[in-house]
Amino acid sequence: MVTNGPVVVMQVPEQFNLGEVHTFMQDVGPLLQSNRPRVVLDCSQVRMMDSAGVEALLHCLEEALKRDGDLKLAALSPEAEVILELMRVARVFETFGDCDEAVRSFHAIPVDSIQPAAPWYTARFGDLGALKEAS
Amino acid sequence: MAKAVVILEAERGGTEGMLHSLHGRKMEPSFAHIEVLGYSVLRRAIERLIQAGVHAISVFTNQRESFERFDDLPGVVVAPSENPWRSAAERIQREMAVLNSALVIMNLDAYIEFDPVDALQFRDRREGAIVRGCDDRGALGLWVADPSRISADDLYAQLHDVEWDRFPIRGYVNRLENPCDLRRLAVDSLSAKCQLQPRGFEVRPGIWMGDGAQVEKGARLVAPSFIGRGVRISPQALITRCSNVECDSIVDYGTVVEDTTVLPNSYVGIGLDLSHSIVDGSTLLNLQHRVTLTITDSAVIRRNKPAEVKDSSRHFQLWTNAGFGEPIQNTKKNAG
Repeated sequence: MVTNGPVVVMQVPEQFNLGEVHTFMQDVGPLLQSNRPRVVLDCSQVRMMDSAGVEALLHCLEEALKRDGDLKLAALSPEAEVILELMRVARVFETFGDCDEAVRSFHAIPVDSIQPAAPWYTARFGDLGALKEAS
Repeated sequence: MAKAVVILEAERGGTEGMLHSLHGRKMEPSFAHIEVLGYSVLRRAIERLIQAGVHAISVFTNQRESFERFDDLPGVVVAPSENPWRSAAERIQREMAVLNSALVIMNLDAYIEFDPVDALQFRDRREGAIVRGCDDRGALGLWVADPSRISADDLYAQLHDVEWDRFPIRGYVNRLENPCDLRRLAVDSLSAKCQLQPRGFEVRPGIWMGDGAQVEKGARLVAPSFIGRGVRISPQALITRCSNVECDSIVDYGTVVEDTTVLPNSYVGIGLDLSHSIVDGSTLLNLQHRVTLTITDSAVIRRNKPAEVKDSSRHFQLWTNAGFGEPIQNTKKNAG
C-alpha cells in the first residue's frame, strides 16, 4: 500500500459516550472521506467509553478501510483498554504505545514488498549444487 | 461459655478518594459483608464461633444498607450503630456483671481460620488480660479478653494501641485489604487452599451451584467455579478459571467470564469478554489493568434487580490504583 498523504492524529475525548460521539464524528468525518486516509486516534485521555463510543471507533475504521486507508489507536488509557477488551474489539484495531510509534507505522515498509537478496554464490556459481561441485 | 463481640466497619465514612475511620486513620472499606461463594465473611466468622461453642454473639456495624439476616443462627444479635466501637464497649460494660468468661472480640476486616477454643485456652494459660491473634505478617483484628479489663473509654485504642500477648494463628488468613485479596479468597476456596466452603451443591467435581441456579443449554462451566443461588447463565456463556457468580446475577448470551468475581445482583451483558475482574452492578474493577470503571451503558453491565439487596458498589468506586494489591498470577496453576 503506498500512501502519500499526511498521517492525522486526533484526540479521542475523555468522555467518549453517546453525547460526545456526534461531535467527534463531525470532526473526524472529513478526514475519513479523503483518498487513503491515515488516521491515528490518541486515546490517552479516555476515561469513559460506552458502546456508542466503541461503535464510533469501529465505524471510523470501516470508513478508513473502505478508502484503502487505515485507522490505528495509540496511547490507550487503562480505561479504554478495559472497555475494548470487554467488548471483544481490542484485537480488531492495531494499537501502539504512543502516537509517534503509530505514525511511524504508516511509513514502515511491508516485509513482503522486499525481495530477498540472492545468496553470495549465485552470481558466480548459480545454484547451491554448482557451488558444492566447485568446492 | 464464652461470648463474642464482632465489629464490622462496613463504611468508614469519609470524603471521596480518601477514607478516614472514626479514629482519624486512613482506612479502606471492609469487604467482610460481601458474599464470597454464597456467604459473607461475617457470616462465616459467626458460624465458626458458634461451632466452637460461643453462645452469644453481638455484631456491631455501621453498615447503612439492608443487612444480611442471621435469624437461622442462634444467639446472634445485630446492632447497627454510627460508632460500632463505642457501642460495643458500652454493651460490654453493661453486661459485665454476667460475663463470667472470656470474651472474643473480632474487628472483622480479614478472613481468619482459627480455632476459638484454642484462642480461649491460650489466654487462660497466659493469665493476661488480653491476647491478640497474629500471623507471620503481624497482628490481626482478633482478641480474647477478660471483659472486666475492658473500659468504656475508647475500646479501639485499648485493643490496637497496646502490645498485647500474641496468639499465633496457624490457619489460613486473608487480610482482605484490597480487591485482589477478595478475588484471591474466592480462588483459594475453589482451589481448596482454605476451609471456606462454597454454599450449594457440588454438581460436578469442582462445580458448585446454589439453590435455584439455572444454567441454560449450551452454557459451559469449567471447574472450578461457583454459581450462586438464583443465578442464570445464558446459552453459549462460559464460566471458567475459578470464577464465581454470586446470587441473583445473570450472565447473558455468549459472554466469557474468566478469573472473575461477579458480585450479587449483577447483570453481565451479551457477548462480552470479562477477565481478571470484579463486577458489582455497574462497577467494574479490572485487576490486571488496575482500573475501576463505572459503566453507564446498561446493556453492558448493571444491577440486575432494583437494589433492595446489599449494594456494595460504592466501596469499589472508592478504590484507587494504588490500593489494588497484587493480581493473582496464573489462575490455571492455582486451580490445580
